[in-house]
Amino acid sequence: MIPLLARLQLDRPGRRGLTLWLPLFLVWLILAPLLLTLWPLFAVGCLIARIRPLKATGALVALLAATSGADLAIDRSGASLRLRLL
Amino acid sequence: MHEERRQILGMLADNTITALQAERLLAALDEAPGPDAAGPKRKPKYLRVLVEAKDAHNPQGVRVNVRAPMQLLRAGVRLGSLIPPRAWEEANKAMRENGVGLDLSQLRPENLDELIDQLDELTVDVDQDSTRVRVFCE
Repeated sequence: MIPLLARLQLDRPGRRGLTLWLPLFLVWLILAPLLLTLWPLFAVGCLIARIRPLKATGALVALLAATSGADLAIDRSGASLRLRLL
Repeated sequence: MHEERRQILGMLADNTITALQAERLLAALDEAPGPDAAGPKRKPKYLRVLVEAKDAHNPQGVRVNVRAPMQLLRAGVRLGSLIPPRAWEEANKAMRENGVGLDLSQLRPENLDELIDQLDELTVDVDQDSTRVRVFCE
């Protein structure tokens, strides 16, 4: 399933930690009409490159859906940043 | 297992159980997994990459911890199967020019899927003076 939420945690030494919950589902909702409008152009580009448009679309959606559960944490000089896709 | 079979046969000899009951018990023993039988192998779900690096400017170092779902690798493999044949030919040509006689067009998604499935045994440990990299599946 495509990630619907992202959690961003930022900790800095001597400062209060920050946790942000990002509603990715709103981003997909906003982008959906734009992507649907641009899809015919994408399909034409795929056909020119001799790639099946529907297969390419499915592969890209699968790639996006596979990012759910990804976790990135960076610690440097006592500060830390963590991003998790849910 | 042999002890249990002996017990069943002993009970049959003592007429404690009938032949039909003994047969059922022996069949149940044959179906039951042994004590050393392993359970279903758990497929790894994530690829973990840990990097620790220190330098003169940053004695505390930088630590990077990335967890990528294995599904992402599989989805990437499917994306690779969309590459048109002309691109494969050019890639093969470039590899041949550099002495690598590998035909990328012969690679199938199911081969790469099988390779990904075998990654659960993979562990990469790189230790240099101030850098440490670990890659493993979990």
